[in-house]
Amino acid sequence: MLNKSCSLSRLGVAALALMASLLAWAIATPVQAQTEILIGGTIAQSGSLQGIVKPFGALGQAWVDDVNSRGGIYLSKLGRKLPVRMILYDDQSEPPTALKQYERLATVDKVHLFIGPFSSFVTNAAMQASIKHKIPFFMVEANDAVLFEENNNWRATGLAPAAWEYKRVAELYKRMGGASTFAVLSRDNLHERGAAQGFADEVKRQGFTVVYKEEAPKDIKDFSSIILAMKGKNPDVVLIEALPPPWNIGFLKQARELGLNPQDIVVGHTPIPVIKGMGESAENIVSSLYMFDGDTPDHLRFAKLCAAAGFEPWQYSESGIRYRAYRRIEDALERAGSLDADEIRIAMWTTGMTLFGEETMKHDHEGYGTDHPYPTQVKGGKHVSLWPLEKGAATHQYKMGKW
Amino acid sequence: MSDPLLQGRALVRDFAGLRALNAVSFEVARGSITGIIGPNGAGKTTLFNAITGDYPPTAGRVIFDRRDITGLAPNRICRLGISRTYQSVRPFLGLSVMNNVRIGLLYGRREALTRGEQEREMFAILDFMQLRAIADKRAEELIPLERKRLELARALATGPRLVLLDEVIAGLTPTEILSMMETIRAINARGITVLLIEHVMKAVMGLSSEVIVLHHGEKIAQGDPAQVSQDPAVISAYLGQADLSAGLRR
Amino acid sequence: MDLAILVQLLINGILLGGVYAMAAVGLSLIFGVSGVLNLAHGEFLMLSGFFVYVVYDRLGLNPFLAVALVAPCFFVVGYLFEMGLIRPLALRKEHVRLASATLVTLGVALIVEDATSFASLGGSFEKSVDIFVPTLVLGTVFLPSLKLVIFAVVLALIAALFLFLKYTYIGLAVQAVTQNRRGAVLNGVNTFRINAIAFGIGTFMAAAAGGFEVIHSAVAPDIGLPLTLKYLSIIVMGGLGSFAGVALGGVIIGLGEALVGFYNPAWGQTVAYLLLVAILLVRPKGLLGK
Repeated sequence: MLNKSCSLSRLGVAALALMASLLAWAIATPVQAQTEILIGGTIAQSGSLQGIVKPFGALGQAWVDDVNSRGGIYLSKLGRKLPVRMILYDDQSEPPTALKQYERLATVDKVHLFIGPFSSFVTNAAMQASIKHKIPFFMVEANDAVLFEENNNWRATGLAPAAWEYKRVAELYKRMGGASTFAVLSRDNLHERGAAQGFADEVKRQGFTVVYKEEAPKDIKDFSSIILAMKGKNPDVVLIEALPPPWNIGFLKQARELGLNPQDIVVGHTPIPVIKGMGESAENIVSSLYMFDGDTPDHLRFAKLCAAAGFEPWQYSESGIRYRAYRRIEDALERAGSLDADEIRIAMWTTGMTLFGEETMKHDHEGYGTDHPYPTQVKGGKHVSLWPLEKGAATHQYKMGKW
Repeated sequence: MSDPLLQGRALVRDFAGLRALNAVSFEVARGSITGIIGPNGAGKTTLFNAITGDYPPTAGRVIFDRRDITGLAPNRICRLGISRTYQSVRPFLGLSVMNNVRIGLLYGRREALTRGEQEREMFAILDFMQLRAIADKRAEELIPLERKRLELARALATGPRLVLLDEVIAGLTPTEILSMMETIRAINARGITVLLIEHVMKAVMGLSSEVIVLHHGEKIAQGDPAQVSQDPAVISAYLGQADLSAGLRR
Repeated sequence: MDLAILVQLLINGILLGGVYAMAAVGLSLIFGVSGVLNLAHGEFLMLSGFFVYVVYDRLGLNPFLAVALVAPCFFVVGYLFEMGLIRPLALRKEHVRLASATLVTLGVALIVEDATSFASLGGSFEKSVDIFVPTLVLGTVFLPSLKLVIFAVVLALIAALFLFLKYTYIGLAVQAVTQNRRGAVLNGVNTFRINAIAFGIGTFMAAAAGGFEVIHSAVAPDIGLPLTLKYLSIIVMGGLGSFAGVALGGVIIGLGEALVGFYNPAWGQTVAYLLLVAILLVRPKGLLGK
C-alpha cells in the first residue's frame, strides 16, 4: 500500500513539476523576446556603392554602443530600458541581395524594425520585405520619387525630396550677394535632374537668373562643348550635380584647361577622390553636405560617433543622414513605448523632433522628411561648414576664377 | 616501292558523317613527279589537307621520309620540308611580291639562313619564277598568271623537299600551260619531289611518272600513266567526261 | 557660330579623337590578327589607369614616367591573357572559336569590373592624377597643354606601331597573319605566337590610353565597357584592316561629339553611332576598309 501511494505521489510530483516548467517556459518565451531591441538592415560593404558607405557599419555599431552605455532605450509600456542590437548584412550594392537579406532579417532574425540601405534603388527592393512582414522601415539615404509611387505606410524617409538639395546653397548666395547669374549642369539621371531643377527654381525664387541649364549623359567624356557654351553665357556661379567622381573630375579638369573661371563653382558631390584629383584647384569649391558646425548635444554626439567609426563627417557626407536616422529610431521607440510594430510605425510617422538645435524633422503625407544638406567649402583639402548663414557668409570666399 | 619519300597508310577523313577519305594508302617515290586525278569530290584536296596538317586525318598515318608526321601542326610540317599551293590562290594581298616570298624564307625553313643567304635565295627564287621585274608590286595588283607564279615562289621559299601543287594549271591559256609544265619540270630537276592534283589530263599525264586515281574517297588505281588510262575502273569512273577521254587517247 | 568657338571645338574634337584612336588601333590589331573581339580591352585600360595612379601616388613619380613603366607591363598581361584564355579555344572550329573567344573576353570584362568595384585599395577605386600644365592661349583659342602632350605621344606610338609592322620581321609576320592566316601557317609562321604578340601590343596600347585617361580625366570601375563599345564603333567605321581608317574614325567621332555636343550634350554622344550607320550605308566596308 505504501509503495503504491509513494509511486503515485512521485508520479504526481513529476507531473506537477513538468506542468510548472511548461507553464514557466510558455510565460518565459515572450519575456525572452522583450530583452532587447533588435534592428535589422543592410549596408554596402562591397560593390559599386562601398566607396561611399564603407564606415557606416562601424558607425551603426558606435551608435549601438553609445545607446547601450546608457542602459538602452526606455520603453514606457515595459517600464524599463532595453538594450539595442543591430544586425547589418552586406547587400553588395545589389537590390536582389538586399531583398533576400531583409527577408532573412524578418523571418530568421525576427527584428523589430528595419533600417534602410544606401541608395534609392536598393531601398526600393528592400521595401518589399517590410510591406510583406509588416515591419516598420526607417529609410535612410533614399528619396527618389519612385519610392513614393505607391501608398505604403510601413516606410518613411528622413530626407526631403531631391529638389531641396541645394536650397540652403541658394539661400547662402542670397545672403552673401556678389553673384547674380547661375549655370547649372547635371548628369542625366533621375536624382541629379531633380536636384538640379530644384536649385534652378530656388535660385529664381531668390531673384537670380539662370543663364545656362543642361543635362549631359552619363558616359560623356569630353565636356569641352558644354564648357564653351557656358563660357559664352558668362555665369557668376557654376553648379555641377553628378554623383560619380570621374564625371565631376572630368568636367573640372577640362573647365580648368579651357579657361572657365567663374566667381564660384559648386560641386554638389566632392568626396575625397575629387579633392585629391584636383589638388590645389579644389580650394574654395562650394559643396553641399549633411553637416554643419555647432555645439548642440546632437553635434557633439555625431562627431563622437564618427570618430569612433574612424572618420570625420565631411569625408563621408551621408553619415549625417545615417545619424539622423538613428535619432528618428530612438524618437519613435521612446514615443511608441513598446516593440509593437504598429505603434512604432505610427510613432515614426508622427515625429516632430528637433535635431541639431534648429532642424525640425517631420514627415509629409507621402513619406518624405525634411533633411536637406548644408553648404560647405573646401579649404586646405577638407570641407569647412558654411552654416549658419551669418557665419557662412563671413567664412566663404569666392573662388574668383582661381584654379 | 622501296624508301618512298611520302607514304599514306589507310588514311581516313570524316566530316560530320561524311567519309571523304576511306582507308587510302599510297606512296610517292623520291624525286618523282606524281599526279593525283579523280572526278570532282573524289577527295584529292582532302588528301592534301591530311598530308599538310590543315585537316589532319581521322585515322591512318602519314609518313614523310621515314618519319610519322600525322597530326603535326602545319607550320612544323612546313619546316620539315613539305609545302603546297592552293586551288584558290591566296597570297598576302597587302604585301609586295618580295615580302610574300620573304615570309617563307624567314619562317618556313628547316635551318635558319643568314641575312646574306636570305637575300640571295630570295632573288634566286624570284628569278626562277620570273617575278624579279614585278618584285615591288603589291600582290593584289598581279594578273592571274603572275599570282600562280607567286604561289609557286612562296612554296619554294621554304626550301621544301616535297611540293604539293593543287591545280596550278587550271585557268591558264594553252601557251601558259606549256610554260607552267616547263616550270614544274625545272622544279623537279632541282631535286624537289612534286605531287600534283590536276584536271588537265594532258598536263598530268605528260608530267607524271606515276599517277594515283581517287574516286569517292578511295584509291581505285595507281601506276604509270599508260597503265592508269587503260584501267577499266578508272575509265568507268570517268565515263562521259570529255577531257579524260581526250587525255586517255595517247 | 563664332569662328573662335568653331576653331576651339575642332581642336577639342581632334585631340579627343586622337586619344580614342590609340586604344582603338590596339583593338583593331587584335581583331585583325586573331579574329577575336577583345571585349575586355576597356578593362585593361581601366586597370592600367589605376596602377599608374598607384605608382604616381605611392612612389611620387612623374605621371608620364609612371605610364612609361606601367604600360609595357600590360604587354605581358595581354600576351598571357591570349595564351591562357584564348589559345585553349583554338582547337575548335573557326566560327565556334571566334564566338567562344569573344564571349570569354566579355566574361573577363564583367568579372574585372565587378572585382574592382569590390576592391578598396585606399578607399574607392575612383582615381585621378592631380596634375596641371598651364594651357597655351592663342588669342581666344585655348590649347590644353596636357592634351597636346598626350596627343603627341599617341601619334608617336601609332607611328612606332606602323614602323614596327613595316620594317621588322615580326611585323611582317603580323601583317601576313592578318591577311592570310592559313597561308602564314603553311609558310611556317607560328600563328599562336603572333596572336599573343598582337594581344600584347594591343593591350599595351590600351594601357597607355588608360594611363592618359587617369592623367587628363579619371578612372572608375565602370568606364571599361562603354569605352570598348565606342572603340568597336570606331573600328567598324574606320574599316577593318586599316589603321589609318581607325585613326580617321576616331577623329571623326571626336569631332562629331565636340561639334554636336555644343548644341546638345546628349545628342553629342548619340551622333557617334549615327555617323557609324551613315558611313556604313555609304561605304559598307568602312571608310578605308579592305
